[in-house]
Amino acid sequence: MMGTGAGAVLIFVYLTAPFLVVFVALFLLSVRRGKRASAEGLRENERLIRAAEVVWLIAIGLTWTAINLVSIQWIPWIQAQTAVSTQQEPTQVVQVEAFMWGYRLDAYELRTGVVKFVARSLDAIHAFAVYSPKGELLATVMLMPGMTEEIVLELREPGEYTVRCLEYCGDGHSAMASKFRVV
Amino acid sequence: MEAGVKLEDLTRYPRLMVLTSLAWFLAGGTAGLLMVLAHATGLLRIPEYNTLLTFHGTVMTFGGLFQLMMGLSLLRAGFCYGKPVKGLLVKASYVLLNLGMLMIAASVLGLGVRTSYTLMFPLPAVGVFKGLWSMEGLTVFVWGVVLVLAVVVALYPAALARLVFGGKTQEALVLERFMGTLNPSGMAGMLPYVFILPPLGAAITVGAVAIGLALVGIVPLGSIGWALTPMNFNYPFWIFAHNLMEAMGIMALGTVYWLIPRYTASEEQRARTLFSEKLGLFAIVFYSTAAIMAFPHHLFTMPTSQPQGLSYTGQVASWLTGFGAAFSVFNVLATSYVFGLRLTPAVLAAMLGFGVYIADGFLAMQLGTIGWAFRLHGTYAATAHLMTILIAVTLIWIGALYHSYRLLFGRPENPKLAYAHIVLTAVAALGLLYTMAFMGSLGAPRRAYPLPVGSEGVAALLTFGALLAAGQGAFILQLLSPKRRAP
Repeated sequence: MMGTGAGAVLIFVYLTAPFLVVFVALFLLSVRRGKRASAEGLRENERLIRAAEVVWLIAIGLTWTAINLVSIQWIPWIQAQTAVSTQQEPTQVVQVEAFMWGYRLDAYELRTGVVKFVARSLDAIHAFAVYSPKGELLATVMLMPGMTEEIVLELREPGEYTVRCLEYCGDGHSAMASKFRVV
Repeated sequence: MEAGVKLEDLTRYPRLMVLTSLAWFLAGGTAGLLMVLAHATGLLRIPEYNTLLTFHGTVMTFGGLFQLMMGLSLLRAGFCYGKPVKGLLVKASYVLLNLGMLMIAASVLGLGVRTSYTLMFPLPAVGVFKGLWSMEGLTVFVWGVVLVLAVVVALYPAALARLVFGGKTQEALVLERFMGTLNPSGMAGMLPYVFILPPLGAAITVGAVAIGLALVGIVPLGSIGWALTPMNFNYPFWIFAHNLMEAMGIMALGTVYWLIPRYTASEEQRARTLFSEKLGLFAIVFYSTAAIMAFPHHLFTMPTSQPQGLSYTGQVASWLTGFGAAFSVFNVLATSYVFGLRLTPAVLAAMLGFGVYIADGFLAMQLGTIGWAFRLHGTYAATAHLMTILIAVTLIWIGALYHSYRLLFGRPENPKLAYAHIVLTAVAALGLLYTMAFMGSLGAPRRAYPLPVGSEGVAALLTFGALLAAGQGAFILQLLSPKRRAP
């Protein structure tokens, strides 16, 4: 779940919303201390602030490191290695051509399991973005003309998958889509 | 004032730049509102929407924010170092930037070029071959881009460097004694733009000039094949575009470092500086160094063409920029808390802009994570990041604008209108950030009209877009109201 788009945005909300609350609270507290400054002067606890600095930087360091380490397992080529090594059947290979404004796949019906998509663009920059039958964005690949991109996905769920373009490519960009079935 | 030295020497061009940026912001903002309204009502045809999309992006980024930053940073350097903001470099920066923007606007609105502001090369050329726009339109567009690049990559950094390093200080023009290059660290925030951007933008500028010369027949098209290869164009493009945004962000950070100590309440002498100037300088150097190598995150989703080592470097560098930001968060909050703050529009805008910048920074790091990039790149999550960083930086510069409001416009600001302007802008920025991030989590493609998925967020986009417009309305009232009251 954490490796999906929805998971990313949930983590974003969980981390930034408390940050913003504390940030605004400290700002208001600073303004309040500012009002007191001329009347009675300000006292600061140097040791407390130095401790806060250390705690803040350690917390950031640990969080940043943990997220980076955990995220390794979501990298498509790492996931592909695991999926390919555990499956019994040979990997299915699908050739994809993207053009203004559509896709040509050499197979529109696939089996559940590991699929390698080999995709290229015939004209402008396009994306090859695969959405699951439930509408979850599984992965997107940018296709630059002249280059061929390969991505391996494990399609466990039978049903109709949608392919969409996520890179702006002119007036047909929004409608640039295709579908394939997994049985 | 010393003989021969006039305050107008400091303020004439910065004021022109600020007011012209406001005109571009108004035009681009109107286009943005129309785009969201179109998502809600379907009032535009697809080519019309894509025209507004291209106009909105170019105008808000370069005519609006870049020009606002240019005016206020030159003003700040001028009155801190005591040097007049005038001369050929300043004039050429103003004239060529706006001429370039007018050419881009004409090619987009009048000649139908609609490539989006990120160009999506080779779309500009493919569009001509597909009959989406004309070669004449593309030629005007490319030469507009060349003029804007000349200012962004060469003229403006040269003008800024001249103020910081060249010429003699005229004491009568020193309105704030805040000199130095690395100390105080608030000035160090200008240096990454001056030193890093020209070399990193040189390749894309040469490529754009070569294409422009080929379009008008001065060099044969066949001789510039190297510049027309998508990979050869897009790597220099992203090295430049990424570092432009980072340099603008770091300069905004330096602006926060400069502004906050101006508004501390404590009478102590050390309250006029950051809680830790050393940490401030370290954060800027650390952030700048990490940011340079973070650019590969724009091309993570080319898993075969982009070397994996470059992608890993991009991820690590992206997250290291987060450490630079974390140092700044501590330093700015410690300065505010220890010395206390006087609440003014300048300090409120700088602090809220800084808070929004940091919150958005986390989304930026998520997009800079390979695993997440494959699920978010090209969706509204990417738009959320780009739009928010630009609004956050604008908000910080609005702080600088209110700081110099009397100097620029000869009268104090109306605090109520200023607070309305700032609070509405900040609330709208956060609303747009979270709404667009949510739409990204649904897989909504950015720059797509009509939206094939993710239209659940459109009502919220419209609401926060209207709030943003209301905030800017308060600023226009601010500028106009004294004139209305004048006898």
